[in-house]
Amino acid sequence: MRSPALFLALAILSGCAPDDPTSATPGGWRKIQSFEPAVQIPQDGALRLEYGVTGGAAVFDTDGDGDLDIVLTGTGIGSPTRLWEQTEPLVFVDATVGSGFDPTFFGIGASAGDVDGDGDADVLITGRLGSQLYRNNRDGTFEQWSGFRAPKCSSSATFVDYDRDGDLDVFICRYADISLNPNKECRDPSGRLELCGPTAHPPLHDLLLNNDGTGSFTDVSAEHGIDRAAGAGLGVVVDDFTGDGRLDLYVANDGYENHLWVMGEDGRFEEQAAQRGLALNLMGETEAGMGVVSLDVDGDLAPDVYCTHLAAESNTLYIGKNDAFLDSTAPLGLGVASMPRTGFGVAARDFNRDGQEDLLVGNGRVTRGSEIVLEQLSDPWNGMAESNDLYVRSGSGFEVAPFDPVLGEAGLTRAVVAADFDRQGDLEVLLVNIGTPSVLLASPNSKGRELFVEAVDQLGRPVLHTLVRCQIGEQIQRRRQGISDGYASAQAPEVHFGLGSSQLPARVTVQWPDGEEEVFEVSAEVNRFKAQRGSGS
Amino acid sequence: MKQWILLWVLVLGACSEPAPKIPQVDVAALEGPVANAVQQSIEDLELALDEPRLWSNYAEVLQAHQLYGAARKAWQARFKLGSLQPGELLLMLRCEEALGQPIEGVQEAVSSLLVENSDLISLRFSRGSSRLRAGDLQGAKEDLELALGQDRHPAILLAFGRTVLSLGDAERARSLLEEARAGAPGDVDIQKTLAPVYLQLGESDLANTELQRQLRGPKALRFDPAEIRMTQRSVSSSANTDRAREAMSRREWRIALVWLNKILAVYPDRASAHARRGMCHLMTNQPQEAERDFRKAIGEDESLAMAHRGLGVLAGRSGRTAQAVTHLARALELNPDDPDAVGMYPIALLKAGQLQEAESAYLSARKRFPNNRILVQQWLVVLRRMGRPDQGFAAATSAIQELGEDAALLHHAGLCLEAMGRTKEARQYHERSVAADEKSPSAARLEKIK
Repeated sequence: MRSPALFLALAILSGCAPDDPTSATPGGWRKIQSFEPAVQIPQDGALRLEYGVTGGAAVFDTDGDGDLDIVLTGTGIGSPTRLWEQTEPLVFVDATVGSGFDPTFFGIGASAGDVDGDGDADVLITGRLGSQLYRNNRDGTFEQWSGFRAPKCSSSATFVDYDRDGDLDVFICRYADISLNPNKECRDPSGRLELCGPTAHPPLHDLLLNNDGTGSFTDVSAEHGIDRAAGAGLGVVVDDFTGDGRLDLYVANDGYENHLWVMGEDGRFEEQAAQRGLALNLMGETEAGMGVVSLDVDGDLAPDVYCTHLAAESNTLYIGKNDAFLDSTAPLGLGVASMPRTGFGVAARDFNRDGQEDLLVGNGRVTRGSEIVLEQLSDPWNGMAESNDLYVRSGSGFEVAPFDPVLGEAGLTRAVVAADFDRQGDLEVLLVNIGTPSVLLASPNSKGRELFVEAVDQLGRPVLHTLVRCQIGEQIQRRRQGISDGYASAQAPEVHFGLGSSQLPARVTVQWPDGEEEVFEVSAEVNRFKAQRGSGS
Repeated sequence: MKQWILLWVLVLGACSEPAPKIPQVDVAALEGPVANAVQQSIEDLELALDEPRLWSNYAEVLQAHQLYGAARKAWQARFKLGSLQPGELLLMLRCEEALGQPIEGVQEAVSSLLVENSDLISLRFSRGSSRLRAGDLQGAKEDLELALGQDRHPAILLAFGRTVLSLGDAERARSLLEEARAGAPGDVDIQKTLAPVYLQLGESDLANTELQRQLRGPKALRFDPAEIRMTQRSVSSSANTDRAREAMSRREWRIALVWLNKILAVYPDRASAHARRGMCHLMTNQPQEAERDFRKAIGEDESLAMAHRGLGVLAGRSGRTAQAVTHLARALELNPDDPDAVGMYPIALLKAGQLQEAESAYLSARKRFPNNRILVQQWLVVLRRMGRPDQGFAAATSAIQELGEDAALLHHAGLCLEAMGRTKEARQYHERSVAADEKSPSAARLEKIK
């Protein structure tokens, strides 16, 4: 954890006033815009579990104008869910009033997908007592879906067509049943009041809701055995973790064994995390799973998995090999570095465009730190702020990138969303903070070439969880066009490749969820490409 | 002369180490017993700031309550006083791990001590584990291999197995982990490390079998006396709750009672502790004490599923069948995933004469926990005792179809047939039971119904 004094010194050294870190380091991260906090921490001294895990965001085109807008989950009256519309490139205007979101709803996370197949993305907001689904009216307003039922405290969620019937179903991570004892008090080992952890309340099983194509959902959790695996789910990522061509779901549980729901030939999920080495860390311990991403670290064109965790636990990197995964965190340089901090949101992108995915982790404790970091927050929140971390590739592993005062500004960061917000071919990052403003940052300028690919169907609608490979020369990179990577957030349906200094055309291979493949040639001048189904070779 | 004396004073003042400053914590925010323990340690220390033992004592008290930042400073002060014991260094390593920050000089001191004395297995094992966690695989391998040369303890085998697995030698990891399992067949960590190793080696059947293996017997626990001493320093109710919970999960009810009594001495109205203590009393056959605790728990917090379950059990045992049904129904409402309550509820309904509801609850429980053989056995016993052997036989055959040739289920099926007077068929089931497990009680039944 960096102290304010260190931050001040770094800011002064870099020739910038400490209260204006907009351009603290030439060529470094740059702040584009701040957003009023959607999560106001109560000042009444109460420490409720849900305040520790809220702070979600959905990034998608809410009004059909082609660029990305932002929905930040709020905590109800006084700090409602907020909609920020992008009115001109990288300028966002508060469009909450009249947007249709329930101003009393205590939200935690969000996901976005076209549930009713009408061509625009609808939005699901998870919350402390259940989830709400909103229909997109295509004019920047939303209407709550009647009859949608997904009760109890929920965190991350994802839309996925698990049964391949052409519509999006939904998987919701549920956390702990706080409804039984909502004002429960918890204490740390020295007896001080603290935020309740996941074991303070009964854990909940996750929910799988099947869409009949019209946006009418049926709970099918029991059919897949999901109702028999309670855990405190916080993060979910979709990928083909078993290499059989079918999409599986990996859930990061807080303090409980993680779950890997493997889709079988019979169309049913089966939990296989323990046998595939994804339930625990190398030491055989359950960890406090928060955010999760799939990425390809070892270049074998198969997914590896990275989970963020509590302080004193490292964030964990599992490398897939021979149908099983091995915790390879420490040998790949990610062990000790992450241990002092508590990671939540995470984005795997090639931030330095060198052809390999890096990891950006949003940090913020849930227990007291050893010092006060943010004076404006009350005890114990003032000791929970931490700087964020960027791990960049180094050899076969990772190393911590040099501290950047803009990216590293201390806060209680939860969701991290990385996308090309204005569709101009550059990578921006949204850091969702609780208690302090959320921020949109521009990643550092780089000479490296980059390419964004959107895999869309014949009507131009994004096809979620499509596999995209990009080849230049001998090098092939793999990405999954997911939406739930990270924590409590909806990423934009696009993939990002860093292509280094190469000026050769890129050969982009798209494998659609039904297994069919198409190849697209993308010239070197293009940095944003829409791979439309049926138009490749 | 005065000038010389002054000069000497200045030189001595400049050369001597300033007295170490006692790291402070805000005791006002701490739970009473913890604040007292911390305050007492500080008072002891203030009397003799150069006494290493008192610095260790203070650091251990802080670390036992996870006040790691202050503990680190206390260890630093202790370190500077020299003459470190292996146990102190081991705890310093633990503090470093918890904080993710080094304590200056500790690694060097550990190395030096291990060179001087190669028999310090606990310290070497701890450093090996720390190195493994930190990604120093070669260092971990070196330490753990040496430790293993002196003691093939399951915990060392497990840590070394994980190290060689990280180094890519899955075959050797398998051999080490299998040896660890033989020494500690009740350890879930070994089971869950070994299963993916089998999968990596292409042995998916072995992976499945390993995960389905029942965990019985010792675990691969390994505690140094210093670690035990430090954990015993913990006096907070939170830490004691954790200890009680751990003891209960090991089914060590009397040990759990010790910790729960400590908590309730400080917080007499803590509902969750009463519920837990009630459960310990129940399991140690003290029904009156159990009932008192469960009722107190529910009086403080009506939503405690464990207390309702306990009251349901007690009511069932004393023939208050309607009460048993009410409490177990409430327990299930509060925690639908509690396998014990799920299993007990149909039996309570059956005893209360609610036959259809009982049958429905049993089928629902079977669906929810399809591999729970105990659930089926209990159901069969109650059906038979209530004069419903025909229903029991039907349930037994259905379960046997789903669960296979289970000796206990075949035995109960045989008993039901005996009760129905169908001795010849009963013999067949008893024979199948013995074939499935030669220690089956069906062997004795076969003698009796010759």
